[in-house]
Amino acid sequence: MDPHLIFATLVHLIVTPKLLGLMLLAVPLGIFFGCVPGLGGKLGIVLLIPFVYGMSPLAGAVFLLSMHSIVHTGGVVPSILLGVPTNGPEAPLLVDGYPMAQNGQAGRALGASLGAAGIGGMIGVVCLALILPVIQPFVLSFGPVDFFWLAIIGITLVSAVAGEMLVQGLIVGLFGWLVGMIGLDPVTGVQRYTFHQLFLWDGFDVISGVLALYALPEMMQLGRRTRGAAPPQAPNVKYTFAEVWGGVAENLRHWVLTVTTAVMGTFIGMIPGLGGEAAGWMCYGFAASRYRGRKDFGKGAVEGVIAPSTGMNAKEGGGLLPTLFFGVPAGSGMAIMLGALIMLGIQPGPMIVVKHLPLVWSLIWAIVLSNLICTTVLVFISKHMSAITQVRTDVLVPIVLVFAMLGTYLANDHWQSLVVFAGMGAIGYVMRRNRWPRPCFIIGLVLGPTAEVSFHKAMALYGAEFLLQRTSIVMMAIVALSLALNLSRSRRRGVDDGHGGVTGISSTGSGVS
Amino acid sequence: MDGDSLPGGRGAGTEPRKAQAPLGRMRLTSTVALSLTFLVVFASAAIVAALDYPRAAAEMPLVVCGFGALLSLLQLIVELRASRAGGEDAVDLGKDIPIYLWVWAFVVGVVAFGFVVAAPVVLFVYLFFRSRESWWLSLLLSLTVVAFLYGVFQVGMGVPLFEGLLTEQIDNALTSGTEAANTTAAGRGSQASAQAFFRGKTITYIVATSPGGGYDTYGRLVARYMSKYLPGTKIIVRNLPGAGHVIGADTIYAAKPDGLTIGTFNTGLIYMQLLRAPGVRFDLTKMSWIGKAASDPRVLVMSRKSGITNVRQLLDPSKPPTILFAAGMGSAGYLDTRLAAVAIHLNVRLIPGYGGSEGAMSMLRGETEGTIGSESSYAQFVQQGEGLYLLQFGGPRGGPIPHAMPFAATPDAKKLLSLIAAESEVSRLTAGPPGIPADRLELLRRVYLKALADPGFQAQARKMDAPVEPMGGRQVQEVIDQALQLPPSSLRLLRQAVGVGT
Repeated sequence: MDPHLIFATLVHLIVTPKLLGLMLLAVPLGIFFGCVPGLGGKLGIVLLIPFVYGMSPLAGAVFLLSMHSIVHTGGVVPSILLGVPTNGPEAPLLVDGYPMAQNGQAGRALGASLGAAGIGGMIGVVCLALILPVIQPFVLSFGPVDFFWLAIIGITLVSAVAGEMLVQGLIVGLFGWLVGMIGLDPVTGVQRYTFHQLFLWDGFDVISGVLALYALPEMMQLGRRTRGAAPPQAPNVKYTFAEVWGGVAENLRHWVLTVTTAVMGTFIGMIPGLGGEAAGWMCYGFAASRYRGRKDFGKGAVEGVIAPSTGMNAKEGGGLLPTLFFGVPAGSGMAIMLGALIMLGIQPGPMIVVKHLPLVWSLIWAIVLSNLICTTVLVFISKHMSAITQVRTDVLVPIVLVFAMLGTYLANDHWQSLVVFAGMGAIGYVMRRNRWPRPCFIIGLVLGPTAEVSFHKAMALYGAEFLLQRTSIVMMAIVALSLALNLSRSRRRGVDDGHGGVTGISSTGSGVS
Repeated sequence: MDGDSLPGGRGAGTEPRKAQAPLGRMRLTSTVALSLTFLVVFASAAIVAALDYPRAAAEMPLVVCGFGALLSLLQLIVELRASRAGGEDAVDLGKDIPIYLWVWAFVVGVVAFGFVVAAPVVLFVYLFFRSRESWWLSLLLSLTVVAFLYGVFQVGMGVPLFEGLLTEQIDNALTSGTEAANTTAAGRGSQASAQAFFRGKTITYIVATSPGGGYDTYGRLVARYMSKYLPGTKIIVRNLPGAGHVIGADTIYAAKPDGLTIGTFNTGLIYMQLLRAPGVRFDLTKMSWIGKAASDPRVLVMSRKSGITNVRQLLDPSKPPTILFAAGMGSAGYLDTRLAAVAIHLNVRLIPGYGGSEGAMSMLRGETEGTIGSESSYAQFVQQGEGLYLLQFGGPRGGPIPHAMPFAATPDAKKLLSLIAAESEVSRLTAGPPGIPADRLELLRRVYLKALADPGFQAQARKMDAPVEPMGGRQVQEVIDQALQLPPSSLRLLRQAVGVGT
């Protein structure tokens, strides 16, 4: 690679007022699409496409990619401060981020997450740059058998995430998987669990699930009180800039974790069909297994905030790779990005590295810069963002409810989703009050269907012998090992603090799975 | 904990902060209720799967529900035995029911009257009566929220917000009187009166997919340039995705036939109608066809890795079958592949379930060897030298790709191929509900063709790699009618092709 070219493109981006201006415009737009529930980067591109008509390919692509690559950073703030995730990939932030904010560590959590998201986004594209020479063999090395096992490994994360509530976690995870089966079964063409309701044909939307299981219970919790009683006290979430900065510095203290999860996120994002939703959870699960035995995991551990934050942004860089170099989008957001790039006159494909190398480098730098700008801006104004949490809960609850409903509706344009939202919300609320692990639902919902479809494809292609392939044997060993470790840990924990009757079940349950 | 317990269900309504329930009595705590709910859900889902679904579709639900039910039962037993009335976190109905009812108030309000009406009203009532805010603050906040919703989404981004089920009905009731008068007056009118009708009105153009993607691109382009040739008329695009275009098509079909609702959907719905798929309420032969923008012939693509360069190699039954991938079973893409393979007796094995770009990837990997799909989806793949076209279904003959028709031996097979051909020919269509007054439909058809001939339209389409091959409404109507008149023997073949599976 030519170092001159690499830096020339960076300098060009910075000294061209139009390009820099577009990036500075793209960042607040990305934050906006990220922090309003249900909007997200995909809709962002669709809505911005009319504005890039007639722009040069470089300017248009820089603008769209800068906006798209930082959307999840924008979602960090409502997820951590209010416990309201705005898009699927940010959901893992709630597991440790929101409890941290409740424990008076909001600043640290915000800083850690924003910093991690920025670093993750940057590492994501750096990986992309490094892998340029060998992309083809890597991306092509994943088939149905690998997808199946990756999904299974992801599902075994339930055992890491559920901690001492193992049986409850498995139940919730299986429930998520069941809900994931709603809709057209791609293998047999049968409509499963749709009960003649057209709105269920396309399946259950992840963001609807996330909003119903997290946003609604949180608002009910804040809004509950008996008639005439004083409103509940809002948790103290005041914090100083120093705390936020301390949070950013946590990323350096845990640099091994930061770098590892960023690389993991990139690679998961690269594989078309695996689903970017999984990246954050896989990274979270990795952290949870790495710090096995830590009691604060799931209750406000900073490592549990860093891991998913890097993952969710790193996957954006990874997802760009197959999109740009094979014309094969890695996910639905990237599919729309692909359309936009073609419209701008950029023809994705292997030839892009030969013909448009400067453009590729400009795009890489654009993602690096927009991540940098976004994180810096948000870290510096984060002090003022605590203002949202200073709003009286009595005022906050109904307004957030309206926005959560809007997000549920915008996700797939069916009014029936609102009814499902309220219904699922009740289950989510009871789970929240009894501390049943809600993340397991999302894991089952996201990865269950991938596992099923890949399993059927692998069976059709290779028959049951696929279970004896080398990949399968290695993957099975990984699954068995990680399950065994997590089970022994949760059993140990159950004995350690087995003060409640319910906790005791974890040892009973381990035999069943 | 204790052996002789009474059956559960006694003493509903839980006490919070009560560490110990009276010994010897089971309580319906919220965790018990939760475990019970999951048990019921898993059990009933398993029963539905076992009774209703074919084996391959029922396998995974049965496994998942089996484990789920078992674990829920286990959990339920443990919860009942623990007889612990929850900790501080258990549900307290006295506090929880009111707030949950509020949630429903919001949901029911929005479903009935839409965001713009219901959100501020319920918000105001909540803030004023429950939160006891002053009336002016409540009013200010409610209005700010609705102004934000309306301004940012509806006006700023053109994302329409849900308008409410009752609002729609009230709207219809109010306008139907005046509309009826208009319709009769303009019923036999001239072009001039049709033009006068559209002036100052808004046409809704329904796109049956979510924003982004081909249907949306064509839809927005058509809407923009049609309004150019209908001065004084605004055309707004509304995305109504869902159920593989069925929701959009059903909605267009059921719309009031005044010419103010038109839209676009997948031509593959021909199959859905022929197979009488559940949920299909439209009848394509009755719709008011306005035109189509493109043709997209179906092609048989083989990957370079497969080494297959000639159709004959696929026809030889003595060789092991070639592996073709297809989209999810039941989708139009799957049916195309299946029908084509059946009609010309290709010696292939179909692996369904490849959505989006996974199929192209699997050909690159060498895991599958080819597919039958629309030419536009594989143009890039072939251009890059990763594969080649072997055969073309539909479209004009005599092109560079051999045509499939000569390979069809029986009349039924030929009929199936012509079904695919019709589907290929009519792509990116625009249609309205049945019964649009003749003069208005005529005007819309003319405006449509003018819009597609506009140099601006052509330039935009070229830029977006969207081919344009327009056809007027009348001709489209003929093609669709022809395709849907399938003789029983061919229909049987179609049903067989769909039902047999791989």
